[in-house]
Amino acid sequence: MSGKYGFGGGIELPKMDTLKPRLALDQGALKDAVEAGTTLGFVSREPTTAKRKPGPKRTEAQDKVSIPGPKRVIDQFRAFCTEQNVTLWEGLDLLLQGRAR
Amino acid sequence: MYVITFANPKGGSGKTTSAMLLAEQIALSGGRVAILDLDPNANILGWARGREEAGRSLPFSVHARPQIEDTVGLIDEMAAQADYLIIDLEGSKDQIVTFALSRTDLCIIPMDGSPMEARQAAQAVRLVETTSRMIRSPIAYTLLFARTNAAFLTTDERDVRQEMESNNINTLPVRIARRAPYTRIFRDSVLLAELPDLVAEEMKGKTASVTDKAQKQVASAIENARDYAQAVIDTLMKARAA
Repeated sequence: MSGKYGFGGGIELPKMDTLKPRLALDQGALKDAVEAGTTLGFVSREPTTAKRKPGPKRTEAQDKVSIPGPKRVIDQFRAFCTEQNVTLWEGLDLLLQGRAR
Repeated sequence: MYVITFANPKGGSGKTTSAMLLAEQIALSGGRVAILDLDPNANILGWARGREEAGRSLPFSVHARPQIEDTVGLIDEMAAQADYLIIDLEGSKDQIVTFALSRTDLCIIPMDGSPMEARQAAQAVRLVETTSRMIRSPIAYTLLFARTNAAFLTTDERDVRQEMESNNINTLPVRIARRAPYTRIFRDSVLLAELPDLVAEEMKGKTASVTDKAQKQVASAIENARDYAQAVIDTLMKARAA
């Protein structure tokens, strides 16, 4: 060891030239491992849907509407907004503008 | 390349600190090290950014969390640039833990010895054993008592140790005690090895006994980190030889 406080010494590391190359991972086995992990509670925590971008600043009068309806229609509308990368009201606005043309 | 992963679904168990201490000791001893920071809190990335902003060099490269399905590919790519890849995982039951474990040589499961953390550590052990079985390849693991009291063993820790011994669960022979120099690493984006000079500068004008006390605290932290890192390497070698 060297230095005023004896901090110069390191730890003993193995020689790297004896290390065998890593074998490729079997993708099927990995899939099984991920499935088994899921049963132990280790699940995907990645965001499932992209966050909708915030709308513009509210410079005009605001109102709201709740639209109960068949799930397939609501799902289609949500999918349309996601595809266009717009908020729900912007999606509605787009559709209304399309009708006006 | 050796892959050493730090996992415990319980947050705050000492994964990031243990990973950083190990990375520094290996790098200072001449090993090529890379860290993969898979924790969304990205404390190690923040530490690296802090060093860059302060104009300090990085003794090892730090890589950010990829898309979950790219994890295995990224780990394998790093074999060209590092001898040791250290992976810091998130303190939650995230699927990315399984992906990282599938390429791991040694999984270290830090915990403070409390019953709560021991239960979470047991879940990490189960995941390591299950993943190892599924990929048909051994994954060595060891528990590490971290953030413990340097002066004595608590009754909680003694109780947890007893259960682990009766179940033949491997435990690293060195504990990492809770110490101020370990938190300072992240606070000031410094290395443990830089602390003696920093403390000497800060202690200018103070009495010899005050300076000595501060330096002894740093010296104990460095000695603990070095003993711990050597124990990790010894465990890794034992696992490879088995």
